[in-house]
Parts: sequence; C-alpha cells; structure tokens
Amino acid sequence: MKPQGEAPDLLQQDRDLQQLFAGRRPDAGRFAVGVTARIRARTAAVAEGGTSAAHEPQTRVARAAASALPDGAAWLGAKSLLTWLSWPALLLAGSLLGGLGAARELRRDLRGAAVAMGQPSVRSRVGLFLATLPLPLLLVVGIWYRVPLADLLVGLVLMAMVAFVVQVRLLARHGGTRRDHVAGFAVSLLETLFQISMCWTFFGGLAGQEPWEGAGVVWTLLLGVVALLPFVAAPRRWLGLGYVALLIALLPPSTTLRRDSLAAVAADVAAARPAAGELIDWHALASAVEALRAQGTAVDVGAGLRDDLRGWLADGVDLHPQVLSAAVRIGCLDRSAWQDLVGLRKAAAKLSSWDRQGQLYSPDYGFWELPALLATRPGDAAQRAHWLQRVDTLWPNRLDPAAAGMPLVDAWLALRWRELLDAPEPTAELVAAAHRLLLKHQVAKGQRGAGGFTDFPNEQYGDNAAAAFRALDLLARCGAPPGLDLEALHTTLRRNVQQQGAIGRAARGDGLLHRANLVRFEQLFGATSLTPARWLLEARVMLAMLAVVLLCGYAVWLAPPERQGPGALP
Amino acid sequence: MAAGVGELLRRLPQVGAGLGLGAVRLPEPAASGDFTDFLRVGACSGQSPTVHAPSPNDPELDHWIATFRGPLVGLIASWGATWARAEELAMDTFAEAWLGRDRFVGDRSAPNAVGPWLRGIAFHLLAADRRAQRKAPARLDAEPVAPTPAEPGEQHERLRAAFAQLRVEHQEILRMHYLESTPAGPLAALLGISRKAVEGRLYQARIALRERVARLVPTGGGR
Repeated sequence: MKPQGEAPDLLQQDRDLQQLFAGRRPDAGRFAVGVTARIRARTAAVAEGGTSAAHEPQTRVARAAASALPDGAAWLGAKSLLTWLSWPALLLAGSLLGGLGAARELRRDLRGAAVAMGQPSVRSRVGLFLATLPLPLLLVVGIWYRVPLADLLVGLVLMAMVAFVVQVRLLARHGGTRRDHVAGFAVSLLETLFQISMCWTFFGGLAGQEPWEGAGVVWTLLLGVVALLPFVAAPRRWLGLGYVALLIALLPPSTTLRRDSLAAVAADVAAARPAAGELIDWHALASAVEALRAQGTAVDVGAGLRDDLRGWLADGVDLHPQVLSAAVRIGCLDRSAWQDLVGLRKAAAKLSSWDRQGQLYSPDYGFWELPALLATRPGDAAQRAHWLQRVDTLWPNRLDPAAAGMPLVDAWLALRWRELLDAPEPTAELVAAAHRLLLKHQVAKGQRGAGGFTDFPNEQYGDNAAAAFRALDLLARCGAPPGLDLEALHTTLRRNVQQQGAIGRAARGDGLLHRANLVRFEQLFGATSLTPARWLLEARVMLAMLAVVLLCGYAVWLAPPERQGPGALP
Repeated sequence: MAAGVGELLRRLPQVGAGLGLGAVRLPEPAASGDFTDFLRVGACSGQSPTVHAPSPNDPELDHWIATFRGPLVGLIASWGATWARAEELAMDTFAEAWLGRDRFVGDRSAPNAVGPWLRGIAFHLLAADRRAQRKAPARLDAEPVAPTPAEPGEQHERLRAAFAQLRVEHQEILRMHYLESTPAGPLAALLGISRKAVEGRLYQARIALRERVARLVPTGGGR
C-alpha cells in the first residue's frame, strides 16, 4: 500500500520532471520538417543514381548475411540446406577478418615501438629475419617433390609461427607490444586453423590421418583457443567465448566416426540400388560384396536391385558390360535373367567369340562373359579346356615387362576365370608373374597415393581404388611378395577411406570401393604393427598443430601485460 | 552562405504551414544549441533544408511520429547520444522507416509492431553514426547526461543530480515518458515489454528519484 501523502508528492514530482525535460522536448513542427527533408534528400539521391541508406552496399551485405540465417519453419527446405552449408564459410570469413584486425593492431604496435625507440630498424630486423628464412626455397622444394598440400601448409604455418614468436620477442624486449593484442592475433589464427581443419576433416580427410587424428587436430586447436581467450581484451573475450560456443555447437560429431566398419559397409551394400548408367557404383557394389563375403560376412543386396536387373533384361535394355559383370559377381542373376541376356544380339555375338582360337582380349568389365557362357552353355570337357587355354593367353603378356595394355586387369581376369573353369592352382610361374606385377604396380614413395596401386605404373597418376581392388584380389590368391610395402598400403587405404569424408560420397562409388578395399586388406593381413616412427609420421599434423598452439601460448607469455593506471593516490 | 541560412530561417514557418504541420516555431538561436543542430540536418542529408520538401503527406508517417517521437528521442538519448544527436537520429529513423516501409511485413498501423522496428532502425543508425564519427565511442549502456532544466534553480539542480544517480533503466523510462508525457503504450512497444511493466518501472523510478532527492535536501542547521 502506498503511504499517505505520496500522491501529492508524485504530482509535484511529475511537474518537476516535465519541467526538467522541457528544454529537451523536440519541437513537433521542426521535427516533422526534418523528417520530410531527409525523405526528400534520400529520394532525390536515389533518383540521381545514388543509393539511399536503405540500399547502401553494407546494407546489401547485411541482408545477404541475414538471408543465410535459418528461417523458422522452412528449415527443412533447400534454402535451409544452403544456409547450413554456408555456416562454415561464414565462420571462416569471420575468423579471417578477426585475424586481419588483430594483425593491424600488432602492426600499429610495431610502428609505435619503432617511433618510440627511434629505431625503425626493429621492423627491418624482423623483415630481415623473415627474408632469411628458407620459406621460398622450402615451398619450391615441397612442390617439386609433390609433398602433400596439407603437409606443406602445416609446415609453412609452423615456420611462420616461429617467425611470429621471434617478432613478438623483439617487440616485447622494447615494450612495443601488448599481451591482449598478441593474444587477439593468436586466437584469431587458431580459430582460422580450426575452421580449416574442421572443414577438411569433415569434407575430405586431413593429410592421410586416421579419423581420431583429424578429431585430435580439431580439438587441439579448439583447446588452444579456449586457453588463450582469457588474455584477450575483455569485450572481445566475451565475443570470442560466444564464437567458440558456436564452433563447439557446429563441431561435426562425424570427425570421430569410422565408416569403414564391416557393419557400416554391409548396411550401405544392402541399401544400394544404383541405376543402369551408374557404372562405378555397380563396380563398387560388387567389390564391396566380395570383400564382405571374403570376410565371412553373409551379405545380400536388396530385392529391389534384383527386380531392377530382371526388368532391364526383360525389356532388352542395352546394359553396359560393367553392370552385367557386377551383377554376376554379386550373384543376382538367375537362370531366366541369363536367358534374357544371351538373347540379346550383342551378348550372343560376344559369347560365340569364345569358340575361336588365339589371344583373348577383354577388359575387366568383360568378366560377365565366361559366367554367362557357363550358365547358358556349360560345354563339355573339350570346350572347357579350350576356354581355359584361351584364358591362359592373358598371362604371357604379364611376363613381358614392356607389354602394353593393363596387365593388372588381365591378370585379375585370368585368375578369376580360371577359378570358374575349375582350373588347378596357379603355377609357380604364374604366381611369380603376379608378384612382379604387384611390385611394379605399387605406387612408389614420394608419389601421390604412395603404397596404393595403379594401373599405369609408368605414369604418375597416383593410386586408384579399382586397381587396389584387383591387386588385393591377386594378393588373396597369390600371397604378398617380399618387398611389397604393406604398411604404406594400409596407410593409403585408410587415408582413402577418410578422404571420402563422413557424408555423401562414402556410401557409393569410389567411396564404397575404398571402404571395401580396407575391409579386404584387414581381412587378409589384419592390422599391421604401428611403430613409433610410423605413429609420429601419421600424427604429424596433430603434433604440428600442438606445436602451433604452444608457440601461440609462448608468444602471449612473452608479450608484456597491458600497463595499469597511475596507481592509488596517497 | 549566411544569406542562405537567413533565407532558410525566414521560410521555415511557411514550409511547415504548407505541409499541414501547423505553424512551425523556430528555435531561438541564442537560447539553445538546437538551432545549429537543426542546420546540421541539411548538411547531414546532403541538401539544404530550405528546399520545399514535399511531405510524404502520409497519415501513417504522421501517426508514427506523433506516437513515437518523444520516447524514441528519449531512448536514443539513453543509449548515450547527446540530446541534439538523439533528435537527429530519431528524424533519420522515421525517414528510413518510411522509405523502407514496403519491406516491413508487420501491421504498420499497430504500435506494438512498429515500435520494435523503429527501435531496431534507431539502434543501427546510432551504431553507424558512431562508426562514422570514428571517435572513442561511449558504451551503449553508458550513463548518458542528465537533462538540463529549462529554468535552472536549486530544486531543478537537485532533481538533475538525483536523476544522474538513478539506475540506467530508471533513467531510460523517465526520459522516454517525461520528454513528451507519452503514455505507457508506445513506451512498451519501443522497449518490447508490457504496459504493466512500463507502469511498474515508472513507479519504481519515481520512488527512487524521490528518495535520492530527499537525500540531497539539506537537513537544516548544518554543522
């Protein structure tokens, strides 16, 4: 309850307050004229080709940025998808801008220090140090020797950080920099690296790292940001904390996912239903099925895939041999389907060619021919012996190192077809030829995909998934030759899996094939031993990022804290 | 230039009358700094205010101005702008709002919809103004200057001193309300709170002000 006598007081106070503000009260007429004048001026400016404040460039930028924000109920739509995809780019841009701002502050410190000391040489000494660093030389050498881009970038960042620490040390010695400025720059740098590594790990894989190593890089940088934030100036600190919270919220959990487990591959195989024209998907699917079966995992493709095939053949669709070969390897063609197939004119012509004499020529996607022949025309012993003889014609080429074509493909076809014809085990001569092939087709160190396999050993195309699959099939049948680098092969197979990222490509095409290859390798050889040297090599990016974080911390520690006020008066 | 200014001042009342705004009262140059502030309007907008600015002649704009002029100026002043600058920015705000009215998706006749919109425009204009001035900006929540009484006297000086001691939100609500004795509705719309909350805050602010004034009153007798 209000006390008695309050009302008159408040009334008096009301009058006093109204009088207090009377001098500041806007004049209604003058105010309206002001508004009108502004409207007219801006309308005229627009009419003359200028821009009104509502259409200034920065407003357009702000609108574009705002349009990227989630828009409520439409969050499931395509716009929302683009929105979420744009977040990493926006965050990265934010980090870069923050870094530029912090670098400007540092530069101002540098100028201030030089002027205050009357020693413009501070800057030149730093510049001299940077110039004497062998950065350009290392860059050229790295590119020349095809050092992976990630390694090159990480190395450059590390060396730049060393230069940065030296610069801060020079400045700090002369009192020319402040701790909050250095911390601001360091935090921006780590945030930028965090963004890049997160995108890289999420969408592509980080320099051949295991998933846990990619996650390790991301978390190392994030912890570095959190550790250095308290040294940034107060307003920016709170801004930075909000930013870090956003980063953590957006940190994809997939950085710790492994998509190469048996169950994951089997699930993707069961769900696969490639179209008639998706040749790589068919090949990958067949290879994944074979890899899983070799592992002892019962696997079957969905009924939809069988229905598709049956329908295509019944309708006389001109299927690519790759699709037929894959269907044969998967085992989803029944007798009626074979009859439909050989009823096709081109297929019948191809099969009748097996009765001829001489050298057999067939690409790997011609694998379907012999199974189709055996399914529709089993043949007597003489015919089978003739077909085996023709299959063996694929081998002599392998004994000639200068042979043209794709020897790995031919050797793989010969081995697989020999099994279909119930031929005896490969002779020692064939096994030796297969070993020579494997050694010749393994990608050498220093090249892209070192340790993997290639169909073209004389070219530097790097490794490819299909060649690795065929090589693993040969390894399964002929064993590993001495001198084959299994550790490098394992590393490359793991890297190829991780490079598919956690979304999209991993479930089909080359992504699925890479995963099948890794499953197959681990089934054949188990996990290879991880020596300390190998561990250091594989964790090099994470260790380098840890060093960057530590150097940032050292630079912040070197810089003197902001000077305090004059102190309390007596 | 000086002749131009004189001409401007002579014609302003006619301009206002022509716009249907009633007789425009010219500020007294000697009595207030607002006069020079007014001249800056033309400089700021890139055109002389002597122009016979065609009124948008829009009852909607007139309604917005009549409803929100006082509290908006008070609000901008509470964000740290000087009174003169707050008035200019409020004019800019209404102009921007009117020019961009087609982009506004809410009900333009509803104060509860228009209030937050005007507040947003005003906030961005103030921030842009500070960036443009490239001064060491005062924080937005910094305590602004207390109003200057029209008729300085001991009681008013005491009131002004007591006002400066109030909490920021109490100062804000008093500025917004007492500048033009605006009712609670527009204040609630601008602040994004309920009318009851505005009334409660006003009540608390008056109580706090009275207590501080009482503390400033000499107890008599002295020491």
